[in-house]
Amino acid sequence: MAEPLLSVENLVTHIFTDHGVVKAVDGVSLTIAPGEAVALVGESGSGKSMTAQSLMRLPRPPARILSGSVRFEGRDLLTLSEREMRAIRGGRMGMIFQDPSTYLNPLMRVGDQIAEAVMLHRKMRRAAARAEALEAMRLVRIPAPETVMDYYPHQLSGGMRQRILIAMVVTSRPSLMIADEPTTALDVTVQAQIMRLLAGLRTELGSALLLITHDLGLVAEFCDRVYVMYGGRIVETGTAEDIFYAPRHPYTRALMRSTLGPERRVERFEAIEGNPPNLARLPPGCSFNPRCPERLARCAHDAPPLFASASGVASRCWLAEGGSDERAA
Amino acid sequence: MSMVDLPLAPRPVSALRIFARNRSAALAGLVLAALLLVALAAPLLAPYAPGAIGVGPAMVGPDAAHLFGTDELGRDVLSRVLYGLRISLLVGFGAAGIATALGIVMGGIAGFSGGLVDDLLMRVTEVFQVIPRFFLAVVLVAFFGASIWNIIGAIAILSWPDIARLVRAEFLTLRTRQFVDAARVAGAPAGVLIFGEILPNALAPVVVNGTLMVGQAMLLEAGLSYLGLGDPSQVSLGLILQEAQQIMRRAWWTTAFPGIAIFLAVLSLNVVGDGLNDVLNPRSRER
Amino acid sequence: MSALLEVRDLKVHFPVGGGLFGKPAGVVHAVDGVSLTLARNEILAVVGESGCGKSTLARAVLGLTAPTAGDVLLDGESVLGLSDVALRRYRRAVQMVFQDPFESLNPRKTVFATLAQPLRIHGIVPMADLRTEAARLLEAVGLAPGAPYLDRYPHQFSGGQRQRICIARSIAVRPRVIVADEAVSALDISIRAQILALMKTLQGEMGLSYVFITHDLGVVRSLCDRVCVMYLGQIVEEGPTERIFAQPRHPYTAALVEACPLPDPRRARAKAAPPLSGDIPSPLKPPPGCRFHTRCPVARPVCATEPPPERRFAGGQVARCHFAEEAATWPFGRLGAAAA
Repeated sequence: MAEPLLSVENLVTHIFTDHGVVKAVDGVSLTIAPGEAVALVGESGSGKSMTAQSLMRLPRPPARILSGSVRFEGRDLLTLSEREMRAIRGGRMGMIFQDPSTYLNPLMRVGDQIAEAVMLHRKMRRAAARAEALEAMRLVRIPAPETVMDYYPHQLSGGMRQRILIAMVVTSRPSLMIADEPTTALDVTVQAQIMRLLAGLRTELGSALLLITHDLGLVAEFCDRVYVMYGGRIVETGTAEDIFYAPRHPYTRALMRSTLGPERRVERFEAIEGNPPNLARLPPGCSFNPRCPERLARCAHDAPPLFASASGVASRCWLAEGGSDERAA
Repeated sequence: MSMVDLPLAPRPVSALRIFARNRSAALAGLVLAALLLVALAAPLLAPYAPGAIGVGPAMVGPDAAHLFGTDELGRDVLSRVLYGLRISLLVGFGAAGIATALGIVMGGIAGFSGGLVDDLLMRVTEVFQVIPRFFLAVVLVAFFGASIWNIIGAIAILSWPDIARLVRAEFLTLRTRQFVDAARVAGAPAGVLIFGEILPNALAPVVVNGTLMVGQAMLLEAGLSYLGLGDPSQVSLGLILQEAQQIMRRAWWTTAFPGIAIFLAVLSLNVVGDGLNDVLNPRSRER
Repeated sequence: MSALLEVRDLKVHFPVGGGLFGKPAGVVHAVDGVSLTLARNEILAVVGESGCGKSTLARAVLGLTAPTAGDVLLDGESVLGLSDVALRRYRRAVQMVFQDPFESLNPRKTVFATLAQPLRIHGIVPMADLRTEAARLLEAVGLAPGAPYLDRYPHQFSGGQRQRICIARSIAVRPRVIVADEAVSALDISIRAQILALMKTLQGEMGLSYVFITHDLGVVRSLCDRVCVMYLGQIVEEGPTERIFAQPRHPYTAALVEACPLPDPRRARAKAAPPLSGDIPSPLKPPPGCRFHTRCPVARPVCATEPPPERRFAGGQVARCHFAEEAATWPFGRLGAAAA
């Protein structure tokens, strides 16, 4: 593989609360190649959002990045000064959030907000920045951008607001777009438009996409590779085909079985028993073991490492141990 | 941010702990408790009756016989402050209690009913809110006479609109919440919806505001007394101050001690109110 | 097939704007002439996006919102304008499960207080047995043993557990119909399957019928017997689930199917570009003619002027589209059909 765009090694982010230490990100490693679309899949409380925020070094107390490295375009982001980091955020690395309305200033015209985003990273006059903003709005396919520029956020639909936010991100031509549940708040038909837009921008700008989601359907449609997260750790990773057609980790398998798509009728609902683990009190051994239908005796006390197989799938499960070379987790 | 879905989460951090975490609120709570205790126990603690004249020489500064000194009629200032605190706190809690009850009823009806009822009740509250408060109190007391109960009533009538607006705003948002609909679907009548479902969820800001209102009512009473509109038969801190204003320069203790008492009471009430806000705000519990 | 619950030409309009003396600035046609029937033991899906009126329809059926016109019938008897006593009897028969399990439980009430409320109001069990019955209800929804949970508060439960408590509350009065408004949308995938399985089990055990309101076609296909698709306050298509997925006859249904994420990489990547652009028009001013024509990829001039009639197809599939017969030629919307 060529030099990755982003390479995260053993990232650890914990939240220090009154109830104890929440191990939201507990030794996560992942890589993203230039232009690649990668999914980070997990249920709520799996630590996926905190992982995304940690890549941008966003966590604030009581959350803290404790260790690990985040190499992005040849630099370790965790060692940069706050000032250098600010240039990266919204610069080479853009982030798109779930709820666009909380990230837009309700009292400012959207065109001006995009222009501000431009001027934050490049020294230029307001008029030039507005021209850039207009260009960005065209890029994200906002109809009649000259008119919409002068609208306030409340005059726009949820889908349009999300496009505005994406426009702010693309003004800096990022090499990596991190999208954290970008369509969860939107309607299905609007979701389809926004996801297509992100996929299109990926090709047009040549940027990589990290999609944080719980929706396996979106992963199947838009991502090349997948990381499955559970209990603050990556439990399985591989290409989308591998993960969907030949998952090896019992959690991924169960997740696939309980996902309901429009393409077939499932006669019996197969649920994963129990609840996602409390990140402040993870069970010993494999964190999935209390819910695992294929649990072995050792799973309750021995935490498995990530076992890589010849096909490139890596699974954090003792069942994947046979016939594979062990990789440092 | 609640990211963690805690299966059977542990008990939330206890209210007491949050309150204690806020040290100034805890301290103010202690001060307030001490003041209340002292006021309640005034008959036991006070060495003399508050109105007793000539229990000592006139205008003597603090000494062993009279800890807070005496005034120009030879009354014991310590005894007067203890009894005065009693009356001032009675006015404060009484007026704030009545205002809160009235405000909950009016605001609750307005917020729960919405529409025309809401519009009418809110116009009424606005009438009370646009009239300068102190001025209206002066007029009311002058008109009905300066008994302690009239004063409590006048202050309550002036203060309920604030609570009413607050309760109304809470009710307006709470009544559309799903758990209210759920109770309605279960067949609950309006009374149960208002008192069983909505009100318990609206109480937190009301309690906080009620606490702050106690202090405001005490100040209002002190102001009225200072203008000579207090109940002359009841020794309140305001009345003591009013009577002492002539001799303030010659006998600082006649104003300083009642002043400190009122200051401590109002300040501790305000700080406790802010502390309660932290405790009762569910968000601060999830930290 | 006799209808258990029937909705006839229901309209719910809301005036907006205007103050104490002002005239309303407009009228939202939230539900605009909806008719549907629910048979015994049936699971009927009402599908649509935000603003289509599906939640307002549910609220009107439950008597939480007064309809402007039309009728709701239970066992053939109208339930609108009922006396308090009759309304209470209706409330016993038709219950609701809400979308957000974090919102639909009163945070200041214990689980016992929540479950006891309907039991007490409707006199389901003697007062002395309230606790036993409440515990039994919790066990019926998979929270066993129930007794230790009774004195806890909602915040001590996870999302899935709360939704179980909500379901326990809804079955407390032993209803015949449960209207579930996006009841699993807020839940994680693994929990969602648990709750769906529970709802299906309860359907069998208690002979329940469901009106299942959702935007998620994946859930619809696996759970529901029949589907109604709503757009801007009207039903644009209805029919048996398998027929609708095999061949949607309304372009909006087809577009919804096409937009639904498909958890199968090879087929998902072969999908056509999303056929719909833009957002749902405001229900303040629904477009004339066919309400969908402003977004319809296969609209023709007639669609902008003439409201489409109902076209009936085999198996009870009904579509309100001028060109429903041409559905097989549309370049989208056949993901639901078996893979080639």
